[in-house]
Order: sequence, then structure tokens, then C-alpha cells
Amino acid sequence: MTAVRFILDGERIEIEVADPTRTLLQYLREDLRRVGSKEGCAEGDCGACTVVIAEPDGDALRYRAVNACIQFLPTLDGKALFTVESLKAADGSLHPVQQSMVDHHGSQCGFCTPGFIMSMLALYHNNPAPTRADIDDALSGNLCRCTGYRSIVDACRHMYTDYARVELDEVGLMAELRELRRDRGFSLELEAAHYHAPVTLAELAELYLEHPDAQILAGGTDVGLWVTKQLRELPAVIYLGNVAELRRIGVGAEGIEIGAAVTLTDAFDTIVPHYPEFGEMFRRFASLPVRNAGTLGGNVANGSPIGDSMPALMAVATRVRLRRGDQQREMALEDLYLDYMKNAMQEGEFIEAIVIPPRVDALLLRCYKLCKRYDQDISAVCAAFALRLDGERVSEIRIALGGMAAIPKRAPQTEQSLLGKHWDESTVRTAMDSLRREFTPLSDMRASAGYRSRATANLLYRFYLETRPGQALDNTAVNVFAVTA
Amino acid sequence: MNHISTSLPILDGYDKVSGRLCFTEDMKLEGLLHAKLIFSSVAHATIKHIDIEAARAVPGVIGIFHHGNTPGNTYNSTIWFEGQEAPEDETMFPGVLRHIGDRVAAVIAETQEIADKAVRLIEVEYDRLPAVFDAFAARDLCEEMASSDQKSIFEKPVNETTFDYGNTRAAFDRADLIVEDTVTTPKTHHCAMENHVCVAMPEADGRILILTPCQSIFAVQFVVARAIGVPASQLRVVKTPIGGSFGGKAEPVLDPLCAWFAKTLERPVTIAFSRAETFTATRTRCKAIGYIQTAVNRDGRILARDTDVLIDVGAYCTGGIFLPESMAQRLCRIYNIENQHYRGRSFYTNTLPSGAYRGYGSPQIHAISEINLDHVARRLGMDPVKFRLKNLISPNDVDPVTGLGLGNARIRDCVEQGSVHFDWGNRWSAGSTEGRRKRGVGMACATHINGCFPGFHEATTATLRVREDGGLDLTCALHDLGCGSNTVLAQIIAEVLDISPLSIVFSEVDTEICDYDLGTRASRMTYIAGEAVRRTAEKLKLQIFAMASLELNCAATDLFITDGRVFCGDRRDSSISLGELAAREADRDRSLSTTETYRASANPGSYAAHFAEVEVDTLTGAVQVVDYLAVHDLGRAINPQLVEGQIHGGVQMGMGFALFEDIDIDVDNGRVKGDRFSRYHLVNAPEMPLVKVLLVEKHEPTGPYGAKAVGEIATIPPAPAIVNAINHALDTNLTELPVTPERIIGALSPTG
Ligand code: FES
Ligand code: FES
Repeated sequence: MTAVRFILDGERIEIEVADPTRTLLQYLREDLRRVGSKEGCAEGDCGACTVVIAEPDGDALRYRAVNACIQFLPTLDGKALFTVESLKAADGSLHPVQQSMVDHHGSQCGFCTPGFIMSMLALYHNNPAPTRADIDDALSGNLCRCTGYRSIVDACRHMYTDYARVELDEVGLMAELRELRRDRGFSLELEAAHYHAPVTLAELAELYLEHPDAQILAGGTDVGLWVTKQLRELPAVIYLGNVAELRRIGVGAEGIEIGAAVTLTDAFDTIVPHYPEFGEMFRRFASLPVRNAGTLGGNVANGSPIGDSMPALMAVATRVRLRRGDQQREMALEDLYLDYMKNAMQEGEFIEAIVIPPRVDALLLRCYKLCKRYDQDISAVCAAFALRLDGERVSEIRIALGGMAAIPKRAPQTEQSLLGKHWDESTVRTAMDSLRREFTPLSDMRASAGYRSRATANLLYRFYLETRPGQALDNTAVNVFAVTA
Repeated sequence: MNHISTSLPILDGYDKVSGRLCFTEDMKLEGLLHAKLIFSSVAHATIKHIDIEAARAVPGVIGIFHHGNTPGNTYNSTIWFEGQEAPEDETMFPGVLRHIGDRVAAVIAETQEIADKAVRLIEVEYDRLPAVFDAFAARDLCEEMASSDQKSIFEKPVNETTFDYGNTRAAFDRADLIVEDTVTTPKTHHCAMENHVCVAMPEADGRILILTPCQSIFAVQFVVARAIGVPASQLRVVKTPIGGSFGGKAEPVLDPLCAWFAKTLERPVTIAFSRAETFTATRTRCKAIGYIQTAVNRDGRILARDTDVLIDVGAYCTGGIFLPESMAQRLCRIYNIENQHYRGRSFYTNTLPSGAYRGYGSPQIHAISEINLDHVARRLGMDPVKFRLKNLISPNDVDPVTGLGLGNARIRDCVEQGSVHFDWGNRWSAGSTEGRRKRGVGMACATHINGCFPGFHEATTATLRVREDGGLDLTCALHDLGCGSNTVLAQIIAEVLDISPLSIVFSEVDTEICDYDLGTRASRMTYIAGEAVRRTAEKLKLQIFAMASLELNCAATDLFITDGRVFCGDRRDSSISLGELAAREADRDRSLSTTETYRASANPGSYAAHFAEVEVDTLTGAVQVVDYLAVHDLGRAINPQLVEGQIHGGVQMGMGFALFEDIDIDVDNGRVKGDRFSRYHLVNAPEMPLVKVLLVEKHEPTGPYGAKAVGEIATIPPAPAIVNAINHALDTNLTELPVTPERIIGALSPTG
């Protein structure tokens, strides 16, 4: 049997795993009895279980804070793990991150504290001089009910300045990690479930053809939940995270190509310079640990009706490259989705890459997200609009919506009705009606159907105001309802 | 002596940041069994049939408990001591299920995985009964049934409290303006980061030991004894470190079951709730709907007020009997209103039960009254700060209903200083801005109590003993809920005796070794327990001086303590350490220790005024709180940073109450919709404004070193302050909490 190998506190650990869907948190708390990492929700929402994973990124080490509660243990293979227990010095003195938390009263009841400490540790090593926004982002996946966060933010600021800096032996760690590198994938064929972690695209394609029933696992931010919360049993899992080709990002004349195993964090960092209009939505997308673990490919493959990335990507004519065995094909993203949680992929077929075309000239683009909380909340509605005008007439328009149907969807009827029209108030009013007719959203706990319809139509109007020829409004300028009324 | 007004880091900070602090779920216990509960999936029903055979057959399953094989003793989980009265309507496994999430059965197994799997094999058939999901329906039902003598529990109000002083009716007749509002507050959840958890195990002598993160070991002992039908002496309760409570762990929810399982199976058993279970099967803040009318004259004097509150306590009474009364209290302790009428009624509904929650009715009643007062000010065209200042009470005013003094009540200072600091006048009169994002400012005042006096046994007993190493042992049932109360108490003792606060060892909070105590509730830690340990330390000091005067041959009046040594006047050469004194006493078979009971004789008000600025995105309805000032009258801040921590945390919670948090009962079937953090939104770090804190430290004579409480009150004014700011920004009168984007958009686009 193959062992899962990783580095913990500088030491190489090799373990036989009985159930590949056992989570890292269960392993830490139950097997190792490292109970510093807490369980507050077991669904990636609270950060009490946060640990830090380090892996090589080119020549440097890259630290990622992730939620151990939804991370399957074998995905740790080849990486270095740090938990709150890793931090103290041999003489018992505290790490600057910890000492700063004590000195600034960043811990009250202490239950959330180990998770915060680990998010802070990743920040400490990744970013030597964070801004307040960087700090907020680093803490965004950790909930605390006692402190109101202020003392924790203070601790973050002071951990750099008030204490002697503690560095890790990165060179040594890199060397150790290099030794763990696998040239060939590994498989765990266990009674509980099978787990495959191929390292090349060819291996992956072959494996999936052989085991088309296997669950593809990328970041695990969704799949992890299916196991821990819905108690779904997955007979076989194929993990994409080690497949070198899928971790690549290409930027060229053909556009941006994002491998299916690229994390949301990296994908967003690549896309935003080309499509800055997506910046705000991406920032509000999910907490940092979720963006650090989750992948754009996984997001697209799940096709959740309320996922935010799909409408944005559809609006800019994104295509997906699928692969089955050695066959490749490409299709428009919107054609991937057939019905609620159903897609056009065949047995044994998977997403290889997401291909975003280069930005076209004179593109007018907006993406709006409506939700309850400003940050990291699932949208009630997400709407993306892309428009090109020929003079003042619509020559091209793409409207893509999330939260309005069983799948993320474009609005072909409304788009069609707009083509060639003069981009003016009365055209848009008609299109708003058309949009309301074209979709029949549901009422659920995030919003009522009426609100969704109304809000979506209003967003189109908003888009018009921001793009109308000659007198476009700044996107911070005006209350859409004041103008609508 | 310099331990007061210093920001000593919390005593167990090292354990917390190193991950070493052992919470209940972190304990490793030999032979521990794990429980998994099944909850009712219908809102009101009797159990027609329950099939446990398949579950019982699973290897590793040790026991299955349900209505048919457990004691049906009734109890009320809110009771703290013998003789306290409240309807006893809970049972471990009820025969009639009253809400979705009510307990049907439990499987106990060797591992959690086995228990989780086995529980899914149990089949339950229900006979459904009619159900009510909101307070209006409950009220109507009760009114309809009023004349019938055959009433079921849901057909009677839980309780009703009224008070009436002055002549409200006559005052309304003479008023220049009457402004009425209906303000609704949601059911919200405590969301302590640690879920509910309990461990119970048999001890060698046959008693049951309960290890539980709780707010009062004696309440746990009392309730469990009642529920499982054993004398309290058969139960030993020890408090474990607690990962937040906020009232959520004040009532023993799991403890009776856990104790019963351990007793019956003669093995240690744990129940550890998941997040969803904590959301749907523990307690909430009760929902309140307040219809309030305020009568004023043209120059802004409040002539009279009439408040009628409907309280939805959910499926079990718990503290629902006290709620109308505790809400009433707060209405009479902050403004001078000569004529007031109040009626508070609490009703059962088939929704999850409410319980204690930081502020105990105060956040609700303040939301009702402070949102309405802002509305009055708007209608009068008057600055809400000036309007409030015309009506606020002054130091040493008296509560007209109880006749109790309010102490050195400094709400006026809070409002005056706060409005200067916040530049209130200019910001308020500037009005809201034009454009997509509109800004507005709002403020609210609040009051809260200090302990339970004159009700209940408001007393704390502490024992202090000098160790031979010069440190102190403190034995007292002090339930530090993670707010740092032990740190504050150590500072108080250290101040009296001039020793290092770090040399004080706190006893376990254990029914075996501690004197009876109410536990941590009602904002009593600093004010009551603080005064208790201060007096104990003072008494110990007298004893130390009596001894040292013999040892040093020095008049007791010349003695003083510095750094753990007793000195005689300015004779620096003549001194003895506390440790040596204790050792000499030990040689004489005595101990240098003292016990003191402090009984409260007052209940002054703590006060606060909060100021908020919001920016409302009129496109999306999203609200950002962009500036925030919290001003608190707390007499004296023993540990200013801990005080600030309480306030920041209180604002986080109050902001959630204003904007996001709602467990959201589905009115069609009674299901809890907000049962996880992705559907029940807590304010996170990026959402938090930079909260500024201003402390008014004017000394409360009855408090230790002048201190009053701050923990609960911090979460009371944020919601009305924020809602008032939104209404200022948008020129709306939003009164339904939480003020969600959908509600904002609804108010802005009446045409829909
Ligand atoms: S336990 Fe809450 S995110 Fe993992
Ligand atoms: S310190 Fe209690 S939850 Fe953060």
C-alpha cells in the first residue's frame, strides 16, 4: 500500500490512510491528538480549523491558510503542514503571531484563536507589509464572536513590528519537499474508497476513462462538504491538485488559459488585470481559505445556479476545454450547463482548462452581485453584462445571470431583442420587461422571486445608465431607483 | 498599587494562543461513548411509532434512549435554585414534540461514526398536531381559547406583565404629537464558536460527574437532579473552559441527557452538537414585536409612553416567564417619563425555544424604544441628540416602578461627550448625500442592570488563602466565560494586597469545593463578584496585619504591603513576606485564609450611547457601517483593554442583529432556515468598522473601585443606532430587523 507523505513540523510523516475521505481535521484531532485545531462548523465557514499548508511555487515557498475540516487527508501528499502546535519555540516561548495576540487581547474565549493564529501565520510569511485591506482579507474566513476583531487586527499589525522576526528554514523545507515529489501518480485502493492522485494529464485522462464513476476532486471546497455534511459515500476519488498541466496559467494572444486545478486566488489574480470590472465581485467571492483551496475549474464544473464566477465568465465569451481520453473539445461555457446540476460532459470527460478570450475593443462590461452581507456571501442574484456599440446601436450584447434559474444562464431572448437597437432609455425599458418574462426565479432563503426579478431588471437599467452614450454615469454616482421612479 | 486601570493580558492567554487550552471536546477520556440525537422533523406531533431495531443491531451501539424508556420528569432549564418558580414543561425526551428540532431519541455508541450511522436507521412516524409559528397567531389562539377550560399549553400565554404609573391616557390627550411604531426583532442565535457539548461519567462512589462549559454549575446540578430524578448530592458538576456562551450555555440543554446516559450505561458519555444542531436544537434570543406610542409636546418633552410587546418564546417556557418583566425594567431606567403604561405578553409557538441571550430582552426593548424615539425626533424636526438630552435621567434618579436608585447614572455624560467626539451636530444636520451611496448617522442610548438585586440570591462567597510561596488561592465559583472576568478579579485582589495578579490561583469551578453562586449572568461578574473578592481581600489584609503586627512587633496601623511583603512604617529592615507569614501560621496549625460573603444592596444602571455612520448602497441595498463610536458609563474600567474587547464584541453582535442575523423560521412549516454560517451571517473582520471607544469613568460608589458592568450593555445600543442611521440616510422608517438589502430595496422602490 502506498503511504501519504508530507512534512509536519519539519519532519517527514508517512501514513497509511484507511479512508481517503477522512478529513485533515479528523486526522489531526483524533489520530494525532493535536486538538489545538478546532471544529466550529465542519463546513468551511468559520475558520476554527484553519491550518497552513506550504508548497513550492517556482523557487519560493507559498503558504496557504486552508480549512482542515473539508480537506481530505491524502491531498496533503507532497506538502508541508503547520498547525497551531507547530509554532511555539523549543523553550516554550511564543511565536510573534501568538505573542502579539496575547499582548493585544486578541483572544477572549480562545476557541477561534488557533484558527486566527494560522491565518495570521500565512499572512506573516507571505506578506511582510500588509495593508489594512490585506489583513481584513487574510482574516475574512475566520469568525469570532467575542472580540469584534479589532484586537486581532491590531495583533496582526504589531506582529511585524514589536517582536523579533522568526523565519522558517525555507531552504531546508524546499529540499525536503523536493524529495517528496512524485514522478508518477499514486493510488490508494482501499476498501472504504479508491483514491487516485495522478501527476500528468495523460495519467488523469486514462484513469478517468477507467473509472468514470469516480468523483473528481479539485480544491475540495464543495466535494468536502458532500462527504462531511451530506454523508455521501464516494467510492472513488480522483484528485487533480497534483496534475502539473492543470496547475498552469497561460496568458497569450489566444487569451487567458486557466488550468482546471488552478486555485481561485491565482485565477482571479490573473483575470482581473484584463477585466478589472470583475475585481469587486472576485474580492467578495468567498473567504481567503476557500479561495486558496477552491479552484475555478471546480466552480465551473459544479455549475451551481448561484455560483458567481459563471455569469462573469459567460459575459466575456469564455470557453471550456474538455478532455476525454486523448480527445479534446471546446465549447462555450453556457453550453456546458443543461439543467440543475447536469452538464454536457460525457462519461470520463473532464474540464482541462477554462479559456477566456482576449479583451475585445470598446467592450462595456459590468458585473453586479447582490447579497445579504457585503463580503463572502452567496449571491441572491449575480448579473454580468457585456456590450459593444456600433455608434449608438447595439452590435453585440451578452447578459449572463446567476440565481435566476436552475443553472447559470444567458438571456438569449433579451439579447436578441436588443441587437441592432438604439441603446437608449426606451430600448432598455423594453428589455427590462423582456428579462422579467424570460426568467422565473425561485423564492428561497436568500431572496424572494419577486425581489430577484425586480433586482435583475434594475441591474440592466443600472448597466444602461453606466454605459449610455455621451452621458454615462460613474458607477458610484447615482441611485438607480431615484432615476427609475 | 497600580493594578486597577491597567490592561493586563488575560491570565490564560498563553494557553489559548498555543492551542493548549483543553476545551470539553479536546479531552481524552478512556472508554468514552458518543451520543447522536434524532430530532423531530415536524413542528408539533405525537410519536406514533418509533422503530429502533435496525439501529440497535449495529455493532458498537450501546444504548438507545427515547420517550418510552427515559424518565418523564418535567423541569425548567432556566431555574438556578430550589424555590425559584417557573413552569416545568421540558422533559428529556418529550412524548409530544413541540418544534422541529425537539428531541426524539438518542443513540449511544462506541464511536461518533457508529452513532451517526445508526441514528439514520431509526424510523419515526408522527401524528401531526396543528402548529403556530408566530406570536400574532399565538396571541389570537390564546384569545380565542380564553373562555375554554380545556386549554392545551399552547393556548395560554406564558406570562403577562404590566405596569402603569402616572396617567398615560390623560397625557396622550394633551400631547402635541403622538408617534407610533411597530418594531420587530428577529430570533437570533448566540453563535458561540464552540458548539454545545457535555461530558458525564460515573464516579467510583456511584455519583455522576458532569463536565460542562456552563454559566452556573449549581444551576446545572439543580436542573439535572430534577430531570433525571436523583438528589443533587448525587451529582458533581465541574465547569470546563468555555468557547463562548453569551447566554446560550446558561441553560443546561445537553446535561440532563448526558448524565442520564452515563448513569444508565455506567460509562462516560459525551454529547457534542454539530453546528446545525446547535442552531436548531438549543436556544435563541426571543422574537419581539413591539407596538409603541410616544406622546410629546412641541418642545420635545416626552409626556407619556405606551408600549405593548408580544414575545415569541418558542416551544418551551425556559425563561419566557421572566422576559416581559425584564423588558419592562429597562423602560423605566433611562428617560424621565412621568406617565407610562406597559404590557408585555409572552406566548408559546412551535418554534425553537428562546433562552438567555446577552442583554436578556434588553436589545429587543431598546430596539423598539430607541427606533421609535428617533422617529419622534424626525417628526418633531429635532436633532435626536437634543431630543434625548431633554428627557434623559440624571445621576441618583430613582426607577419609578421599583423605587430603586439608579446610582451614579451618567447617561447624560455619555450622550454629551459622544456627540462632541462624533461631531454629531454637523454630521446629523448635513443630512444624507446624493448619489448611489447614501450616508447617514444615527445614535441610540441604552441601560442595563448590575446583578440580580433585589431578586434571587444576589450574593457571592469567596475564600482566599495565602500559600506558603506567597501566592494566593481563590476558591469561588467564578465562571469566566472567556471575557476575562478572572483577570479583572485578580487585578482587584492584587490591588488590595499589592501582590502580582499572576500569583493568584483560581480554584476549579466545582460543586464539590465552591460555595453556592448564581454563576455568570445578569452582568454581575465585575460588580458583584468583583466586590465580593475585594471585600474578601480586605478582610484577609486585616488578618495579615494582625499577624504581622505580632511578628514584626509593629502597630497594625503602621503596616503596609508592597510586592508581597509586609513592612512596618518606614523601617525598611523590618518586613516579612506573605509566604513566611503563611508558613508560620501553618506551624501553628492554622491557615492564613478567610471567607467572606457579599450580599448586594443596590442595582445601579450601566449606561451607553452609541453613534454610527452608515453608507447605504441604494443599488444593492448593502449597508456598510463606516464609522462608529461607543461611549460607556461603567464607573471605572478595571482593565481598559478587556473593556474595549467587550465593547467591540458587543458591537459585532449588535451590528449582526441590525443587519444580517435571523434564524428565519419558515412560516409554512416551522423549519429553521438559518441553520449554518453560510445562511446565518455573522459580521466578519472586513465588515467591521473601526469602532472607537470612549469611557465615562465617574465612579459608582457601590462598585469595586467604582466599577460597573459593561459586558451585556455593549450589545444593546448598536442595532437601534445603526437602524436609525439607515433611516437618516434614506429618509425611511424601517422598523423590521434585520434591515436586509431586500427590505431596503423594498422601502426604496415602493412601486415594486
Ligand atoms: S470547522 Fe469551521 S471552517 Fe472548518
Ligand atoms: S475569542 Fe471567542 S470566538 Fe473569538
